[in-house]
Amino acid sequence: MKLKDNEDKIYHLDEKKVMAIAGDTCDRERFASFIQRNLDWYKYKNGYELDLDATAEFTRSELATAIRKGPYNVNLLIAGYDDKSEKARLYWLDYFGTLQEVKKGAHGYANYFTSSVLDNHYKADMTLEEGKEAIKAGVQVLQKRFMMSQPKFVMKIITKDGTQVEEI
Amino acid sequence: MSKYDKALTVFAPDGNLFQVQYAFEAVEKGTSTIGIRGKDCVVLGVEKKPEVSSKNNNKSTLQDPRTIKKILPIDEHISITFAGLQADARILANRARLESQSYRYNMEDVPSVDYIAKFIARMQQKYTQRNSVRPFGVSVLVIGFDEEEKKPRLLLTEPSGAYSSWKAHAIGRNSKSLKTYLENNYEADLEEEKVIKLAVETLLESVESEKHIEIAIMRGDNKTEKIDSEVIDKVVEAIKKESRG
Repeated sequence: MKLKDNEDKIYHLDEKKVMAIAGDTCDRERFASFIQRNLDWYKYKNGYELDLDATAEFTRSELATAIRKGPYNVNLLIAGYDDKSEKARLYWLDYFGTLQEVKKGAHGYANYFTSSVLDNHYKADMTLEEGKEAIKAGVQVLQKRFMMSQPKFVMKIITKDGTQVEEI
Repeated sequence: MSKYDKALTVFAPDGNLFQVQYAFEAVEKGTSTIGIRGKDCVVLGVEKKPEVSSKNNNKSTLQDPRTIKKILPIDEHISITFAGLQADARILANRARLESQSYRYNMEDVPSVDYIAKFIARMQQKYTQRNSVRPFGVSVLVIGFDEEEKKPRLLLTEPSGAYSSWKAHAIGRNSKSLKTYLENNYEADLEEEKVIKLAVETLLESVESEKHIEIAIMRGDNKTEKIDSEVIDKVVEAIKKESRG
């Protein structure tokens, strides 16, 4: 039984920031929208965009405030390219309001299957091609070992030139 | 002064709300601002008057002219400009920005130019009917493109809270003579170049120096572009040649 194979859970926060978010559908869409709209509001109010680590911290603080009131049942990865420091960064957040900058990460069932694969492929100063290979290796493991059939994956690549979308 | 102008919430016997009328006076004191609708663009022209040196009128002394912001982006597809009290305009702009994001969040849709103009006008009207507040001392020109029809829009909101749609309009200093000039020279569906030329021509009637003119254009792709001062200089040159020859 196929429900839907084109749900894109990687929301664009702006040109060089994306947020991959997983969890209850309603919370996921509402929370992602909420963060997108807040970032846009900041941009129009101040004339420039909120930078990457501030974005991650803002997202985290919204989750942390919500956990003891009305939690958003979502886990996220925020990825982006920071123009100021000229570095790409990845952040791992979960629904408690945890925030950690990481080199590689995954949420949910994917975490159990891919963390070792990504660990094997990872090395410092990887090139873009090596990174894509690592992701593809992780996807292949999931498609082979996980009980759910997931033939289609979407991959988003953020560089200093912006965001590209590819299908695996 | 009459005895009906001290409080905002008191009508004069002849039907005037004096405080609102005085707000219009504050607008008339602001720097000249014009908006013109073209075939597929809207052009805003503003007079930017930096602090000038007391010795040499053409040199601005200690102020950084880039920090004088007269054209305020509200959202991707909407910008506003104003005449009157700059601080009041800033408040209206920030509220409009919040409202625009709020609308996008709740409706999953893009607010129309009309909606934002109506919102700003509604806010201005609220402040004409309350105690212990004064009206906003600005008239706002809202420009943008309607999502569906992709047509350029130019709307005006006034301190009284009235709003209206225009093909071309002028507010601020010398607005009467600028409006007359626009009425005489406006043509419908002008191409971009001609609209820019008309905007520069109109402002030249009012500004002290062509260095004080700033032009911004919004096209269907929703990007508000500031026209380079070199381009403006070229247009001014061409206009001067025409009037000479």
